[in-house]
Amino acid sequence: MAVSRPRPARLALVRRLAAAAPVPVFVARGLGAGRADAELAADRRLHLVGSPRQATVLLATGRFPGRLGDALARVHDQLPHPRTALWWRRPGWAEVPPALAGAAAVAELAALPAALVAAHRALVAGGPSAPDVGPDQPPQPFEGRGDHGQGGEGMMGGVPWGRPMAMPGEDRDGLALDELSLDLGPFQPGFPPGLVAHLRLQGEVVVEAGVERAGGVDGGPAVDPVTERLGEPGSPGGRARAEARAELRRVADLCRLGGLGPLAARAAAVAADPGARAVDAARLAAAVRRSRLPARWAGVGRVGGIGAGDRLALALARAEGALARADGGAGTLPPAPATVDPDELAGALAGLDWGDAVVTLASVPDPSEAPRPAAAAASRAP
Amino acid sequence: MTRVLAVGPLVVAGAYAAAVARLAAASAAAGHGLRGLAAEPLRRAALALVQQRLATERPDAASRALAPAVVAALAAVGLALVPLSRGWVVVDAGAGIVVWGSLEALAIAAVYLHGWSANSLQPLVAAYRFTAAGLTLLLLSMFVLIGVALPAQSLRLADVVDAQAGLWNVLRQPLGLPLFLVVALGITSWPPLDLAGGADLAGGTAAEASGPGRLAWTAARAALLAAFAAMGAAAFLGGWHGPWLPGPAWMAVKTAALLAVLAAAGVRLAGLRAEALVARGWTVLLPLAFADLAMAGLVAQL
Repeated sequence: MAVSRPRPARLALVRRLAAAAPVPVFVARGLGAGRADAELAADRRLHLVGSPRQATVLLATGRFPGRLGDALARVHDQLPHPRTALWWRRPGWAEVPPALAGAAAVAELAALPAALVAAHRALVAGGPSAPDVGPDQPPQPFEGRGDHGQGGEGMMGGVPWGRPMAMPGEDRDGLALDELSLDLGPFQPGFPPGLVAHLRLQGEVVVEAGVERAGGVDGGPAVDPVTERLGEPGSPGGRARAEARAELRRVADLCRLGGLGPLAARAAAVAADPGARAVDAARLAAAVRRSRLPARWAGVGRVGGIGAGDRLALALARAEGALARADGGAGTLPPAPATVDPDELAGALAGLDWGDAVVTLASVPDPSEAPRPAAAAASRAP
Repeated sequence: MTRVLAVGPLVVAGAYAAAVARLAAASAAAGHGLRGLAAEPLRRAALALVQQRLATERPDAASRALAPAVVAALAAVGLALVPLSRGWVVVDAGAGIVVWGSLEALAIAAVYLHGWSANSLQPLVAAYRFTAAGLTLLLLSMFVLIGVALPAQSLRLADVVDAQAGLWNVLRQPLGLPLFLVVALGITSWPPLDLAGGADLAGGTAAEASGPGRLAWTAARAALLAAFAAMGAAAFLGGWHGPWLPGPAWMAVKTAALLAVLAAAGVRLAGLRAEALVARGWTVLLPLAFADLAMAGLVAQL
């Protein structure tokens, strides 16, 4: 909800300094691109930010069908001026969401950092700032049943103007506490593409949750255009490298979520390096262990028998094993954790506090992430 | 009276030093070089000034403006209390340690206000979990700071530094400094104990802050962290005492060293979640603070 006009920076020096600052990028993950953007953390010219309020560039990766497109439009309008959007768009992604109608498109992951920096510099130098996509008004009319027309009971509940109001409910100590409903996702940093959790909260404790894949359960053609090209298609080395890369991207995501940006940068650098060796993954794993992050998350979000800390450790072990195999060694590759049924995931969220719920949702294996053979992907192409 | 004029530059220098320390630590931990980092805070600040300051639908405008201002003012008071050299302190408060304690309590209120003011869920959740942990940290801080007053038999900070002429408090009360640094990270919500921030809450109390508003908030907390580091240097590392260099230089070196330690912790250690921090605060840290105080008392009696 913009109330003040963008202020032109008058001082040339301020503008020059601002142009040289790391580019604050907010990433909105669409379908089909997986966690590929996590590798951008390795580039020190970029600063992946956690809130659209910080960013100058909105990076949209993948496809945004249906409600994902609406959500993207809302996030787009939350960036402060001056702002612009950049779309990582692969050939074949025909549908253009409203928020990206005027956005520049880049097809190659490797070309993204330079494009982001160029977009930022042009913007700070006084280039045009992207206008609002949607109207600056409440998402819903003020209407409903109830004494005051807000839609709930008495003075509480309902969603006047689209803002959910609290209703009292019994909490875990048997007290009546206000419950607030809200959606977490689909562009929460660290989440797999399209994941949305509908939460009912008391304070910061999740009372009840539902988990949904916005844009469809399938998630579309999940082949990653980058991992697809690594190594010989179908060769064991290429396949193993692609698996390591997917795991390392997840590690980068989780480190960032755990507040360890520098470790995320290291994980991203190993993921992006086509010549990465198993020893690189082993060193990274040691640094992550020293940070105590797996231990902090040890009991958090137990789904399918293991918690978030174990999932992080497993991802590191799998990356190391897969890289050893890619080099022709005999690395032990622990089996991938099974993907989790949305209902089971929703059940695991109940009773967690906010931070633990976010970590759980970001760490569970997602069907869209596993690199698939190119043949399987081709048959799924839209 | 002219000494009051030194507070402004001290606050700015402190905030800048804290920012550089954090960027350098992050760069080193990521395996990048340290080149060009000295001007990096300037670049980020310039970008924030170019960006628009967005408001949420119905923010508490007064609190939104007040919160960074209060934190900056507390940083100024903190830096004014700390003696930079023998006989050179901006405000020579007879009960400086008590003033410092009250400053910590007010900082918690200011952070809460910041989370409240945005009229948005993430900032409010962050404000609540920060406040819950902050109360635990206040108790810690109290015991630790009373500990340093014992050998000096005074609540005046200049006396506390003077009493360390022979032996620094960091050796006399080895538990004190680590506990004080935990308090510093927690109260300023600096990584790894950034309960009022955090990636899970899209930046916590600052989730809705953009442009100059975000800059003011970050800079104010950086200045407060620098005030904590200066206080730590005076209370535990012997303040201006040291060979060869003049007193203020020793204070600068010791403060910078503590900022480097705090920054390194922020980029290399995972933070504790709010619940874990409160639980460990009461079961581990507070008993340690008791032990620290008891030891300080015994040593002071010898």
